[in-house]
Amino acid sequence: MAKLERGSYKGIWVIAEIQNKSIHSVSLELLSKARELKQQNCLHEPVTAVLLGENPDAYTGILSEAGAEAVIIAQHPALEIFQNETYALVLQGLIEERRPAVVLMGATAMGSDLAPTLGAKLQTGVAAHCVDLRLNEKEDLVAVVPAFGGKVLGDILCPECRPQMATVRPGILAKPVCYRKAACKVEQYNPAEALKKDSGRVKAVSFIPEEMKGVSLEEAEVVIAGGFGAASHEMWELVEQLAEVTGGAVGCTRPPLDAGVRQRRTDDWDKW
Amino acid sequence: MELKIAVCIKSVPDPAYYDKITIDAKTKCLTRKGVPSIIGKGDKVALEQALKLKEKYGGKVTVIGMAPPEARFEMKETLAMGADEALLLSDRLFAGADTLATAYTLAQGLKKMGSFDLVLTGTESADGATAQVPAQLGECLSMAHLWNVKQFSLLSDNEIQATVGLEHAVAEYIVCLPAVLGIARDAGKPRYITASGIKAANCKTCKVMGNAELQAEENRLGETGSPTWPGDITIPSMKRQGRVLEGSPDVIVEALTAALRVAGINIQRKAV
Amino acid sequence: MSMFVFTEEQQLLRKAVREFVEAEIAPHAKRWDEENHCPIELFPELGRLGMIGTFVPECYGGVGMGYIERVICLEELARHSAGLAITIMAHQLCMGGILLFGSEEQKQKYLPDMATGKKVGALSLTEAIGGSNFMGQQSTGMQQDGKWLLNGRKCFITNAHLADVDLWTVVTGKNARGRSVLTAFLMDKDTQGRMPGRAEHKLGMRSSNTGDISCVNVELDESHILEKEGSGAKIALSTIQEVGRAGMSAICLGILRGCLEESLEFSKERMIYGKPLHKLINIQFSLAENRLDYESARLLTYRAAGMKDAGEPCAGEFALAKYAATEGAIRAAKRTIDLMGGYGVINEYPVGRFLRDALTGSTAGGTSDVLKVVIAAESLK
Ligand SMILES: Cc1cc2nc3c(=O)[nH]c(=O)nc-3n(C[C@H](O)[C@H](O)[C@H](O)COP(=O)(O)OP(=O)(O)OC[C@H]3O[C@@H](n4cnc5c(N)ncnc54)[C@H](O)[C@@H]3O)c2cc1C
Ligand SMILES: Cc1cc2nc3c(=O)[nH]c(=O)nc-3n(C[C@H](O)[C@H](O)[C@H](O)COP(=O)(O)OP(=O)(O)OC[C@H]3O[C@@H](n4cnc5c(N)ncnc54)[C@H](O)[C@@H]3O)c2cc1C
Repeated sequence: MAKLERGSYKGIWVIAEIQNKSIHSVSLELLSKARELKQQNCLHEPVTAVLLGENPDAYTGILSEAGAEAVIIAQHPALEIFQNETYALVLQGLIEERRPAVVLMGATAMGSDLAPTLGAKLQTGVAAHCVDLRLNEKEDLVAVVPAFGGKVLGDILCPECRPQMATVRPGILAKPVCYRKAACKVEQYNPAEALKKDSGRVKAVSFIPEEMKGVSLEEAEVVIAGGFGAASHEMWELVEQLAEVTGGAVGCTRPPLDAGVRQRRTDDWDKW
Repeated sequence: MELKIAVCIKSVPDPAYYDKITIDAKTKCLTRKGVPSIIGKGDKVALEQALKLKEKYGGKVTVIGMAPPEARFEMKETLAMGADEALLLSDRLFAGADTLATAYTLAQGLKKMGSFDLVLTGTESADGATAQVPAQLGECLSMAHLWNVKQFSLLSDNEIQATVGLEHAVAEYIVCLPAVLGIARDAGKPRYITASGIKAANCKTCKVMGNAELQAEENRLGETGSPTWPGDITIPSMKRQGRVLEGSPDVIVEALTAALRVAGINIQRKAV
Repeated sequence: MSMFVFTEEQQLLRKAVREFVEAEIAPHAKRWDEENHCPIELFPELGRLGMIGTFVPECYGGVGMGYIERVICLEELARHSAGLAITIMAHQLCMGGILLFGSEEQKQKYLPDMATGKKVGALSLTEAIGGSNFMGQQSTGMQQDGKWLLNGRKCFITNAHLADVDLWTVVTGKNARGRSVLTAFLMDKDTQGRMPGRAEHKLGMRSSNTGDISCVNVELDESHILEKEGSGAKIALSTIQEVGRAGMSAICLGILRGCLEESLEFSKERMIYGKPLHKLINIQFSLAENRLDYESARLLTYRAAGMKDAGEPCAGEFALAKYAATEGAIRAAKRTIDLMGGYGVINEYPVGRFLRDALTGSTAGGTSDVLKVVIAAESLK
C-alpha cells in the first residue's frame, strides 16, 4: 500500500453522474455538501465537479449552482455509456495528475462499481454507501456508514492514503443549496491518453432505459415503507395500494425483501 | 468446453439475530455472541449461477472464503450445495481487512488454486454490504469485471455477454474471459441443499489456509493492509414521535387526513 | 451412549431442511390444515431432497443416512406441519417393513420409487376391533389354488387413499397355543378387490389422509408375502416399535419446538401492564416448562434413534421417547394457549393447530397407556 505525502493532496472533488439526460440529484447533493465542508474548514481549493461522457458541456450551469467552483469535462465517444474500466482509467489519470484530497461519488449503480474500481487502481480506501460526511480536526475525511441493516453507524477514515474516497447514498444528504451567479471555471480534459491504456476487455453494447413505474425513492415526498409485519404477499399488496393513493414511493426493510414479496428494483439499491 | 469457475462466499452473522448484536460502550467493539453465522443469500445466488454453468458446460466449481476457521461449516454447506472444492483463508493476519485488503487476499487465494475462467461473487455481502469487493477483486486479479449482473451467457470460449442492472436502466456488456462478475440478488433462486448433497460433501475437500502457506505480502493483509480505518461506532436513535388520535372513527379520519395534508400529503380518491 | 452431540453432517442436514421447510412448507401449513389437504404433490420434491428416503441405503435409491437423520428431518417438518410429517412417517413405515424384511427382489421393486417420493406407501395394521389389541385382528388370508385370498377391513390407515403400495397383516392360521398366526402381504394400489373406504375427518393432523381400506377376495401370489408365512406379527411389531414410535416422537418434538418458539416470541412481543408478558413470573414458569418438555423429549428421542443406528435393541427407549414427546406436546400446546390468553384460541396463531395435532398424534403408534404397559414390562424384566 502506497503511503503518500498527505499534504500534497488538496481539495474536494465530486464525480458527477449523468442519468436520463440530466445530472443525478445525488451529484448535486454532494456538491453542496462539499461546499459546506469547504466553508466550515476554511479550505482553499475550489470544489470541483468532474463530468465524463459525450457532450457533457450542457450541465456546467447546474453543477455550479449546486456548489461547483470548477468543472473538469472529459469528452470522448468511448465514454458515452458507462464502462468501469474506461471511466476508472480516465479518472485515475486525472487524479494522479491533480491530486485531490477527497473524491466523492453517488452510491448509485454506477458509483458503487466505479468507486471501488478506481480505489483499487489508486490503492486507496473507499468508504461505501455513506450517510454523512465531515472533516475532523486534522482535515481528514470522516465518512459515516450504516451497518447491520442500519442498526449501528460507524465512522470510516482513510488517514494514510490519498485521495480519500467515499460514495454517498442518494436522497440522504440535504437537498442541494442554490449558489447563484457563482464563478465557475470550466476546463476540458483530453482523455485520449488515458484511454490508450484500455485493453478493451469490457465493452458496453447497449443501454436500455427501463420504464419507470411510480415515483422513485429519492425523489418521493411520501414513502410508504413496509417492514417485518408486511413480509407477506397480502400485506405487501396493501403497502403498494397505499403508496398508489398517496402518490408515494414504496420502500421496505430487509424482511419483505428476503421474503421475496418486494422485488428489489434496480433503483432500490440499499435504501433500506 | 469445460469451465473453471470460482465463487466467493462470505460467512456472515445471521440477519435474523441482528437484535442480539450489541456494542460494548467502552471498547466500541461489536459483540456477536450467540449470533450464528450463515452464507448470505446473495452469495448463494452466485453459487447457483456457477452450478448451472457447470451443469451446462461441464467443469469445476471452486468456492473461496476469507473468514475465521469456524466458517469451515459454511464452506461445507457450499460443497453440499454442489461445489467441488473449497478454500477457506483463515489467519489472524487477515483480520480487520477492509475491502481492498479482502480483495487482495481473495485474489492471492485464487491464484494458489489455479486459473479460472470466471469468478462469481454476490453484489454485496449481508453484513459489510459495501459492494466493493467484486470490482476490487477484478482489479487485483487484472481481470475484466462487472457488477450487478442480472443475467449472462457465453458467446464463445473467451467472451460473455452480460446484462447489468443500473438505475432505471439495464446495460449490455461484452466482456473478455477471464472475468469477475458480481451477480445480482435477483439473478435466480438458489437451489436447496439435499441430504445426498450433504453426504457427497464428506468426500470433497475443504482446505483451510493461513498465510504461512498463502505467502501473500504481509503489509497488504488485514488491518495493516487496509487503507480505511474504522472510527467510532454509534447507535442511531430510531425514536419516532407518536401521536394518538382519539374519538369516533369519523373524527379520527378527519384529524388524520388533516394532519397528512399539513404534512403535504394529499390522499387522492381512487378505486383500487 | 451417554452424551449426545450432533455431527457436522447432522447439523448441516437440520439447517438445510429447516431452510426448505421455512420457505416452502411453513407458509402453507395453515391452509392445508383448514382445507384438509394433504400436499402429496410435494412428495417427489421431498424425495429429491432426501427427506423421505433418509434412512434407506443408497443401493435402494435412498440417502443412506441413519435414524437420527430421519428424526431430524421429521422434527423440522413437523415444526411447521405435523400433518405432512405424519404422511411421510407412515410412508416410511411401509418402506421400513420392506427394508427390514423384504426379499432382494421386493426391495429392488419398491424401494427406489418410494425412497424418492415417486410412490406412496401405507402400513395397514389397525382394525375396528381395537388397534391396541393387535393380535386380535380379524382380517384373513386363505390359501386357495396356490394363491392367497385376502379379506378384511383396516381402519385409521394413514395414506389410505393415496398409497400406491400397501402393507397388510392378516390372520393366516392358529399356532399350537391357539393364538393367531399373522402374515404380511404387499399389494399394489390397483389390486383387484382392494378398496379404500371412508376418509376420516380428524381433529388434527388434518393435512394427512386417514381412512379405511377393505380387501374383498383379493388374490395374491406368494411373491407378495413379506419374509415368510407367519412373520406378520414380528414385522408389524418391529416396524411400529422402532420406526413408527421413532417417527411419532420426532413429530411431537417438532410440535414441542413450535410451542416453545411461539411462547417465547409471543411473551416478548405482547405488552401487559406496560411491560412484556414474560416479566410475569408465572409466564416464566410456563416458558421453563415448555423448554423442559421439549428438551427431555429431545434427549430421549435422539438417544433412542442413536441406539437404533448402533443396532442396539431400543423398543423400550422408543416407548419412553414417544410417551414423553406426545404427552409433552399436548401439555405444552395447552400451556402455550393459556399463556397467550385470548390470542391462544385465535386461528391466526398456529398453537391451536399444535394442540389438535398433538392430541391426534398421541394415539398413532400406540396409545400412552399401552406405552406405559411396555415401559413397565421393560422395567420389570
Ligand atoms: C459496518 C461496516 C462498514 C464497513 N465499511 C467499509 C467501507 O466503507 N470501506 C471498506 O473498504 N470496508 C468497509 N468495511 C469492511 C468490509 O466489510 C470488509 O472488508 C469485508 O471483508 C468485505 O467487504 P463487504 O462485506 O462489504 O463485501 P461486499 O463487497 O459487499 O461483498 C460482495 C461480495 O464479495 C464477496 N466477498 C466479500 N467478502 C468476502 C470474504 N471475506 N470471503 C469471500 N467472499 C467475500 C462475496 O461474494 C460478497 O457477496 C466495513 C465493514 C463493516 C462491518
Ligand atoms: C392419525 C392417526 C393415524 C394412524 N395411522 C395408522 C396407520 O397408518 N396404520 C395403522 O395400522 N394404524 C394407524 N392408526 C391407528 C392407531 O395405531 C390406533 O389408533 C392405536 O393403535 C390405538 O388403537 P384404537 O384407536 O383402536 O384404540 P383402542 O385400542 O381401542 O384403545 C382404546 C383405549 O383403551 C386403552 N387400552 C387399550 N389396550 C390397553 C391395554 N392393554 N392396557 C391399557 N390400556 C389399554 C387405550 O389406551 C385407549 O385409551 C392411526 C391412528 C391415528 C389417530
